[in-house]
Amino acid sequence: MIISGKSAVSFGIAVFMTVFLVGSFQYSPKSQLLPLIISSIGLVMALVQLAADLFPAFEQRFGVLRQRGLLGADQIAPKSEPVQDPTEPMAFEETASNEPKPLLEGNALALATIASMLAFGLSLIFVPYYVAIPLFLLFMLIVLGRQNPLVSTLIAAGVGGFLFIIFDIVLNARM
Amino acid sequence: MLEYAWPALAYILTPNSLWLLALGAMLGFVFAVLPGLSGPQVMALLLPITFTMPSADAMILLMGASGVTGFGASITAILINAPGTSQSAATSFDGYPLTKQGRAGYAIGASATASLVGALFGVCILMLILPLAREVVLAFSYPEYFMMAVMGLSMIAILAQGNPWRAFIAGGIGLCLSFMGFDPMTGAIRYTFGWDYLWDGAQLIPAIIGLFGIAEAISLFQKRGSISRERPDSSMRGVWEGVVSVFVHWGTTLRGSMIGTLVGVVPGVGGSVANILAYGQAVATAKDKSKFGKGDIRGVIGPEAANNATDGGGLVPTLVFGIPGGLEMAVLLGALTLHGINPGPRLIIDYPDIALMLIYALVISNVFIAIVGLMLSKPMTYLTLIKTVYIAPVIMVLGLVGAYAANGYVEDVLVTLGFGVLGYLMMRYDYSRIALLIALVLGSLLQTSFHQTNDLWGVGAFFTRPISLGLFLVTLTMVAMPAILSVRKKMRAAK
Repeated sequence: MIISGKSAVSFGIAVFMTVFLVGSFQYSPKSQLLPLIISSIGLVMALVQLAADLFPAFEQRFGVLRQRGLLGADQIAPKSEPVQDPTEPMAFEETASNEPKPLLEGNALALATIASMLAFGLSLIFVPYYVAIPLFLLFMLIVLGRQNPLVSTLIAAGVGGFLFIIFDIVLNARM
Repeated sequence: MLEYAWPALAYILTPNSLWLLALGAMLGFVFAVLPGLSGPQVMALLLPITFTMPSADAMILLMGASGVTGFGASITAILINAPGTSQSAATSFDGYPLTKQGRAGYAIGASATASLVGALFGVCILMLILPLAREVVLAFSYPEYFMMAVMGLSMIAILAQGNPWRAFIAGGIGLCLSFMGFDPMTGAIRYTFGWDYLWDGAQLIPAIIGLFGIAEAISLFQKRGSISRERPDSSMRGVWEGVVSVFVHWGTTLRGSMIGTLVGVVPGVGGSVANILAYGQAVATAKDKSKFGKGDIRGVIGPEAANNATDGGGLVPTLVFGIPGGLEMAVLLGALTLHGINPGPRLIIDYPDIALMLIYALVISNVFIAIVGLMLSKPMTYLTLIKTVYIAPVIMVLGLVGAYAANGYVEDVLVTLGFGVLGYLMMRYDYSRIALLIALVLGSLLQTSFHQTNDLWGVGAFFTRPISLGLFLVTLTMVAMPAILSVRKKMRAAK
């Protein structure tokens, strides 16, 4: 049995479908019809996917779980390309050569980015957007991205100023 | 009506009218470039400014802003994979891969030209069918809406790139999310989990910004280098190649324009559906599908022609019945009322000059913004050279503030972020974000039209009404065509 990020996502989807399936029983027959059908099918599919993620032997048995494309679309390459390994060098190297190493890498950086965005979103309740935006950008660029403070400040001020001009001055839309 | 054609044209070509048109077009363009904001928002914000203007000038300003949003929204879809509006979601499927290959100018050139051709096609059809518009609009009812939704959902099968099993699961998630909120058929409040915000259901704007813009930004921030993995072709030759490609793939352009116009004519469906249907037809009718999703210019041309053609189509129910073809047309109807013009069947008879002014404004604003877009496409390609570590936080800010600005709810920001995390996980574990989006867009149309058809005529109506049956057969053909062609190819090879 392999427990991985992939199986955790499949488990999450199965829970999601279960919630919708169980929830559908509290509505009238008309309201529950489509949610009941879709979440039932979705739950079965998610459980099969979960089993395939946990037990590779199971996946080998069912070709459809390994298939790429459908309806003759086997010529089609994957759309949802996996997130590139951050350590993998990019084809166009010229701009990448002098970059400083970020504070965090991989999953830790992704989690820190998501937490920063959450803090930014919540800060909009307490401070005006033209204050929250430069603070968020400075944190992301200088602290997490380890970029040049002068360039980072210019970007933060530029983006904050641009949005202030558009919303508050041109359109007089107070947010 | 013809006697009003020249005076209206002469009026709109005066310096004052052209200035208002350019102002509206530029504001509409800027708004569309900002993820989350689009035509309805800029029109609503411009509305108070038009109170003191003559009616014709007000309509020119508003239509100028409304007409260009389709192309404006595609710029961010192509450059940073963050569609400015739901109308341009499908443009990013192939536009962004082209940017990563250093061919942003090529994609923008094609997008600007296809948008213009689509808009002109939509207007031509509008002029042709105005005399017959009443019959055309009335021919579409709930069974036809349902079949259009089914046709859209069948695109998941056609576009199921990557693992189709996971694509269908993603589609199931999208459908489930579309069931959230107020059910107009029964009045039930479903799956809100005690959160009042969800009474309106899962909103499209936060979903699109999150699934594409925010998810992409999280991924980009982890990378080093620039968005473009190849040295971008910043020459005007690349842009012109894009322009020419629209005419090389004339069939895709024409079919996209036709789909956009038809979807625009049907009230309440709109550009979000049109661009997905047009992308699906571009894939379904292509002989070589191998480059779709990796940067096939036909994947840009079809959706772009369609989303701008919906504007012309959307004017049909607006002008003929006073029924808004979409949200932008609803704001436009509000503006007409504010200026003392009663929208409805008598609008064309009582105010032919205003009706013509709207049509001219749509054409000229699209020509104007196509020229501006082509001029800007070369400098815009340089944006793809900026380090992703600089670009990614700016995308996050534009996306989150865009979601916030649409309604002023912090909840929108949180939902956008939630969709961003979901989109990031889907990218990482090969679940199709496109499938989820298609299902989310079409889910409410599907269930509402299903129940309404069932209540009024029974399920048999799906197959007894000619247009509904026709749409069903077209869907079957589209889904079956790749398999039929594949079998035919194998049989020929065996001979």
